[in-house]
Amino acid sequence: MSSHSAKLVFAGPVGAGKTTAIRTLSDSAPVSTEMPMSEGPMGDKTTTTVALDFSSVQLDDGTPLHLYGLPGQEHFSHMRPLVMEGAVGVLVILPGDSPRIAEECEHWVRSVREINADMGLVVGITRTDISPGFRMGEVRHAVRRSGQPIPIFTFDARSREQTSHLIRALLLSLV
Amino acid sequence: MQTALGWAGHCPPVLRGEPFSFPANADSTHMIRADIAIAALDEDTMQRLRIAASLLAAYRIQARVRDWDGTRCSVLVADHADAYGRQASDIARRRQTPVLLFNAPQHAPAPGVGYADPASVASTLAAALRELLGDKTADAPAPAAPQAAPQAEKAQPPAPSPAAAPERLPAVASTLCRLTTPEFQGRAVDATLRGRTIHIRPAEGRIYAPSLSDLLSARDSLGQSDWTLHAVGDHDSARPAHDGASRSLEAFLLQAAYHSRAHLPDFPPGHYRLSDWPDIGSAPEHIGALKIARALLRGPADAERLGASCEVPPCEVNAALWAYRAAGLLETEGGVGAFTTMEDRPPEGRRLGGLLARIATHFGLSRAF
Repeated sequence: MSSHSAKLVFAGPVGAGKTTAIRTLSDSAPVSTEMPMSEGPMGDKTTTTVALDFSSVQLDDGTPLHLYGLPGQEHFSHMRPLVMEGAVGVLVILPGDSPRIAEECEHWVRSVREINADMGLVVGITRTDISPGFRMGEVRHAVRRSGQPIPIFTFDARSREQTSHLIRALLLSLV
Repeated sequence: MQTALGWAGHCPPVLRGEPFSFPANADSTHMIRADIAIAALDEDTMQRLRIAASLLAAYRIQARVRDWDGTRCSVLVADHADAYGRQASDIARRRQTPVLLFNAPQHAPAPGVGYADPASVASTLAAALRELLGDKTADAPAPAAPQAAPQAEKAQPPAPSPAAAPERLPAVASTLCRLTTPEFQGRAVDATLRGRTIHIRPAEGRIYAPSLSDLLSARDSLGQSDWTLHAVGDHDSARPAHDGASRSLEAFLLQAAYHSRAHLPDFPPGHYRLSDWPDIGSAPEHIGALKIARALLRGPADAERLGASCEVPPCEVNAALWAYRAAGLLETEGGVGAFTTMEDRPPEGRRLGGLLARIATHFGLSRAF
């Protein structure tokens, strides 16, 4: 990692809230490659990221912190190692209203660890307030199967404070 | 190490909300806390009452005196000759809150009501207060065993085992503390206060209520003792049917514990640890609790070392421990041999420097790095 910049990566399936989280943290509007969804809208979501999202935050001393959002589609999985190269850590963002959230969580955590077993990792779960079937215990159990405990937070990707709290947990888990 | 810290071992007075300071040299390890509300007392009587409250330390009661604001308290002291005092007294008695009355016509003794002469000295007032707060505190070197809550229909937790839950609960145990007893910890519980019910569901990691305002109200009153708790069976433990509000249980308990931290008893001494990160992403205002969670995940620690290592005031450490225990996440470390002293570990914040420290500072972790 260059000492003149740093990188955080947001990963997770389509529609989880990665772009929203990046937009929430950014100093300026992110450069997104949003395109209309080829298979029609998913609820209110009508576009999806087809390459990656990019934005940056300027740290107090002027150093840029780059924020990258990986596309959620599996056919873009070849991009993950490239984008994760040199990253401080990965924030896996998952939709709490997915009926398969525990499996998805295990899949994404494994995917990141297969690329870099030492990569800092946190999981942020959105939309749990509208997800009657969400069970945190199942998600924790799935993560335990894939290794050491990592922070798993339910949060609102539209909240700068809550999204920042994910990053705090990531940094604390690194030491 | 501890002397180098800025918090000097106490919560800021403004957070404690105490009109007077409890003697600094008192051993508060086994103190029972009492919340004394006053209504319509003259300045002279108020001063004697404050002295009396401080004398309760002799009975291992740590009393806080405050103006009555309509909320519940451990005991109300009021002037019966004043209309406001009578009104406060009526409300308190309806709630079965013990009352000490000045200038009241002497009636036959009634349970939960004491009478005091306006000329009573502080020691007499202290004795009257102690009697109203419960005679089980008398002569006890350690906190009294749990008493029945004021209302008869309340769930009464059995005496918890030291390894599983706090060894003793104070006479007026907050609902948050009662959630740490074996009867309720980790179980689906319905909690009701004044007709409003919240549904605690640890398996889901969620808490449900009919509305967001009910959740917020519950968060701010969970430190009180007057909730009715009901552990529900497996067949009743599903998510409640109504379309109400829900949120992270662990964040809710953390915010509730911090809200009532001035009234929580000291967490029992011991070494504790976490196996999972608590879900506190929706409580971002409590950065100290995040540091505590991380320290407990690294290995067993006691409250004092947690405070020193994480640079978090003792009352916040205490609140976090109660919250994590109520959530069913905090584990007791049995063997001292398994304990890794915090001195053996690198001090917080010295292992990351440079760029990562600058990121940490940007996101509000400056004191940790």
